[in-house]
Amino acid sequence: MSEGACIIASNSGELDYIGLAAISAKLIRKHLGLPVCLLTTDIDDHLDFDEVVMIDERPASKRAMIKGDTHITYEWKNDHRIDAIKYSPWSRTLLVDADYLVLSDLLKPVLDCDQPFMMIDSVYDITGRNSFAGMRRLPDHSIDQRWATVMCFDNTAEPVFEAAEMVRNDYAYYAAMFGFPVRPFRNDYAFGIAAHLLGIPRLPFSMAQLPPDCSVAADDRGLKITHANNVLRWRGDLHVLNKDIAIDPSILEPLIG
Amino acid sequence: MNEIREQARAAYDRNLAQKNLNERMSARMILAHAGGLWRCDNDLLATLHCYLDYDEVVILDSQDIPRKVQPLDLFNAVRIRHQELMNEWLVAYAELARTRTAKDV
Repeated sequence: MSEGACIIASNSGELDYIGLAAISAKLIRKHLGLPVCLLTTDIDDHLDFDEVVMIDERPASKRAMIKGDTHITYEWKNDHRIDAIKYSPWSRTLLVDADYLVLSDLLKPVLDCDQPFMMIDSVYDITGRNSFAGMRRLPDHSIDQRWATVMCFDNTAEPVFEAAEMVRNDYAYYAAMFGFPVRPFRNDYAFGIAAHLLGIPRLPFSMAQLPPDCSVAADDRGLKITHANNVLRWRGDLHVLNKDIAIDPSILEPLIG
Repeated sequence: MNEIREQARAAYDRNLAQKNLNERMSARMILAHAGGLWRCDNDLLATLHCYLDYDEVVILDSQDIPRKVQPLDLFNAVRIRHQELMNEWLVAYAELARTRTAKDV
């Protein structure tokens, strides 16, 4: 059985997601010892990855994110995750977002257990402001929200991907049923509903997440995070929502060591 | 001048750092064994200790899935992971205890 990680990334305007994925790939190799495959629509020399798989373009939606005191709008190409089981070259795959920084061995046991599909069930805000408290359940409060930022699956997880595809194909219907917006498409909702339908067991830990209004710097001691006038140090896995790391991924290079 | 002002304003929340450390280390106290995920905490160590004279037992893993395990093997694996993480936690805690102000972060 082959094991490896996949990152789905395509550049979008000023956001260098492939550069960010290259840093993430190095961190995955360093902390988990896994080969990394890039799934992308961009034809280029991707030398930082063990495998590169070209994937078809899918419809993208506009998304706005905070950037300093202003905001940026970009094409959010997030519609490929449902096809990841078809594209992944590994028989057991760890699929992570390009902006999820692997800084520990936290995800190793997830790969080593026998569950065919797992995804993140809960998150916490490392700035202590509970920014994600309103996202514990889907907007109509019927079922728990899960997070597609990190997923682990093997070749037998097809029913989950089929269920997520069913949600994607009838997204307006599910949006009306669970009270979320019809646009943009969100993998968290599609896979969260699929995981609920199929009774996927919960992961016994929460994901650390950094809100978009925080700035990030890195040195050999880890990440230094500034929010409002507060500073904090972080050395574990982290999902960074601030787009500065996608605009200039080189700020994370000291983490590679 | 702006930089000096920012440095003067910068604050360090020790309680938050402590809370984050607990959350981060506790998340890592997970081990894969016999196909399941196990939280290497005091409860699991105590439970396994009760069964050390058995060859095979069935207990719930951390995802509430019943697993057939050899208690001695799992006990040894859990004990090693528990101490690895506790040592790491101790080092991180000592560093945190030394950090008093934002400029030390």
